[in-house]
Amino acid sequence: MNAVKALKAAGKIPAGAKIRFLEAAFRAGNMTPKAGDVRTDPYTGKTIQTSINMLTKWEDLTGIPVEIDLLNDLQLYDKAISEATTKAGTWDFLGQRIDFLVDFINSGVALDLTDFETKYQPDIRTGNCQVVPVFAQGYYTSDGKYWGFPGCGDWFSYYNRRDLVTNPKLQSAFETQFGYQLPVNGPDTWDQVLDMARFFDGYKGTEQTLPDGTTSTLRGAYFFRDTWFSNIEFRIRFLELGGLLFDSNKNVTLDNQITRKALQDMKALVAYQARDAFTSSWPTMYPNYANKQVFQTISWASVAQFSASGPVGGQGFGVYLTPGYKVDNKLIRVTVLYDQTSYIVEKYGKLTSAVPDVPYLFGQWLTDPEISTQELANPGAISDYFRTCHGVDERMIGTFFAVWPPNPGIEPGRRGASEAFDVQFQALCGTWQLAGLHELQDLWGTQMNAYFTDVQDIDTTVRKMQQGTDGVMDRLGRDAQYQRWQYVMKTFPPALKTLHGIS
Amino acid sequence: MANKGRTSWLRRKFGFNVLLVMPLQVILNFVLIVPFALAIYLSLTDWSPITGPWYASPIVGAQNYVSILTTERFQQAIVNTLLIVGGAVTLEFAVGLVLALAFFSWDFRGKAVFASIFLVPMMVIPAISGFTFQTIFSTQGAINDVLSRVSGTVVAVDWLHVPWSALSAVILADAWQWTPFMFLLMYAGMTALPSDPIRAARVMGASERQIFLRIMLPMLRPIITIALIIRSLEAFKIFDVPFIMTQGGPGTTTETISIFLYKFAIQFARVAWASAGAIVIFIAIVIVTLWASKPLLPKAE
Repeated sequence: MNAVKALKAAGKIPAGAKIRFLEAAFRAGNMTPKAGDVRTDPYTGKTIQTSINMLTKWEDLTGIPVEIDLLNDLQLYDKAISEATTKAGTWDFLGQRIDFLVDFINSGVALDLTDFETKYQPDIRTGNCQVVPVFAQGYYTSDGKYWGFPGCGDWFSYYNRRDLVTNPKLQSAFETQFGYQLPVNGPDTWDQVLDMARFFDGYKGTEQTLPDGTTSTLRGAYFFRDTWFSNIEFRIRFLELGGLLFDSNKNVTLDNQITRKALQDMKALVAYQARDAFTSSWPTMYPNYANKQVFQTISWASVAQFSASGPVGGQGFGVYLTPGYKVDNKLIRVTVLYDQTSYIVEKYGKLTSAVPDVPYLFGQWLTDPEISTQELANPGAISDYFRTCHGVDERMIGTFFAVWPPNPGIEPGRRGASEAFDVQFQALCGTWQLAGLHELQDLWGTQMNAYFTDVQDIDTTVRKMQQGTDGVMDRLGRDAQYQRWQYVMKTFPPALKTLHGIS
Repeated sequence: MANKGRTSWLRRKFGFNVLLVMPLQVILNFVLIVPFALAIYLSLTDWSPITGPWYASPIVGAQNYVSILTTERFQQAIVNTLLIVGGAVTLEFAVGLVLALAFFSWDFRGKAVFASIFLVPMMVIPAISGFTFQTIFSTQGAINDVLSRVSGTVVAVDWLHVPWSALSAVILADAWQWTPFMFLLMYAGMTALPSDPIRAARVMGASERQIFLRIMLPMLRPIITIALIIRSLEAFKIFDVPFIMTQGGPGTTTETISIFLYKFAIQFARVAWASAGAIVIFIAIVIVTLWASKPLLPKAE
């Protein structure tokens, strides 16, 4: 803040200056924040003010207004890139998906902030609440340079019906059928996930009478099979099985048994899924889970709060870690960072062109731990749990983690989910920072979708994934993509590093 | 005399008539020819906004054309589009013609009100109709709800994730919206038909079926051709409805040419490559339209 005031005093900020901010809004329309809105935080279930209020605070402190526009994050990609490449100077500050960072850098939209980092030494890099390195890799660094600030980040956890897995009668029946004990504290492997889905799907005695008088039986799983979530689950399984995107000769390695196994296992779950797992997303899943219509699901943490007041209730709610695969008798778990937002400064913005320091300092202020904690877990805003202090800072624990219902077994302490997150941290893998990832995600998601819906067989699917990926790599520079993949590999969790012999 | 001399002088000296149309021509050239020429130029380059400025992009010749024509997904988009055009336009024409015939031959009270009601779908924004049909066909939508109530158990068929039903749903949505257009043209055509041949046929003992098939239908041919051309051209560009209902899925089974081009040109920033596709489609449409409208064009003496 002092730096802004100094610039102002030196007369370096032109009269009438304002920051134009294009913010990536979540895909769900009802989560798009507007100035003055009061809405429910999906993580805590509490009523919150949206991040727009922070912009008013900034203006009060600096006298520099912020004009904000909100756009679907997918649309923002082409809008921002096309406007910047024509040097329209429309935006100074962008919230964009972390998956697209490389494209924003390559197209010349993002301003290299490395020198500003040296000049202003922001707390998020140097203070007690630094950003955990694996998040920094995905959110705002590339090729050793700084390109932005952490925005809203997340990974997903897995939830099941604890009231069912703790039922002795069901435990006994499960053991009889599968020859091993029902994993009370959650399945360790995807094979167990499938067994549990098979066991609980349509289980007699779990029928529900719905308000309209129809009956519904329990479905074994609700792991979304839309393009977006399919990509998440595929990446998790692919890495856990020991998959790598490139071999040492820079060849794409998707057409192999690892991809086949990952996809076949994903498809095996389809038979036990709620049917709308293909077309819906979490807003539909929440009531399904809360109304006891599904046994297990993948979700944001807020499903806990949502479920607490429903039929599932606190006792029925269970959370488990990302399942893994056993490779060479060792369990490999990988949690992927996926698809959230970070902030970048646009090179051709009107204010950026005049005084690039101002949009930079705005980003620094907005994501400062002290400031952003006020907006903790705010939809479309800043999430702070990717700080090194997330497990010890009482404010963060208080506002974010304490709302999780206890789940004995993996959350023994008061902090409950906070400790579970710490375990998940051990399995965290950085973002797949590649050029053209937008296109690759569509390619992989579309092909997976075709396979899951029986439009095409596994061989065709894997072949098309391989060919399409090869095409993108050739077009956007195979050598550079390979180098980026090497960078991703450095963020692998310890178990994966050991598996691949990465030091 | 003096005026005539003055006009001739203007024509001779300044090409006055040319002068009059010049502003419009200039505007037309800018909004039509310049973008079109740019699209042709871009289609011969390797340009993408994520790789640098367009003017610095290397010329790759016909490479994009060869590449897109041999791309399986593009070929499937063409097939999907043709299926939708064929299905939707046939349905629209058949239902529109039957409705128009009913209106033409049957006098009843409130005819004008019903005609107005029939036209309502046409006034709905395609995005809204897409969303409405997506809701109807979703697993928790109206169709499954009706089936659930009838069967007494939860029916959760995922209509939009089975290829044939997803495609049918898109066709139905388009037909719902554009059948009124066909109805309107057919009805207008029928009311404009000369009444003498019909009356004469009736006097000579022709049945209503014969009158329709042998007299009305041949006389309606030009308007039917125009209606089919207009609707086919429009349906060929279909975007909103399938994009909102299925996003082109499952897989790419409902991905139309417009969705394909949008995804690759806009979403994935492959502008040059997609431009080649757009030009290929443009040429194909021009050829088909010229062929289809040939019977309507005046024949040379």
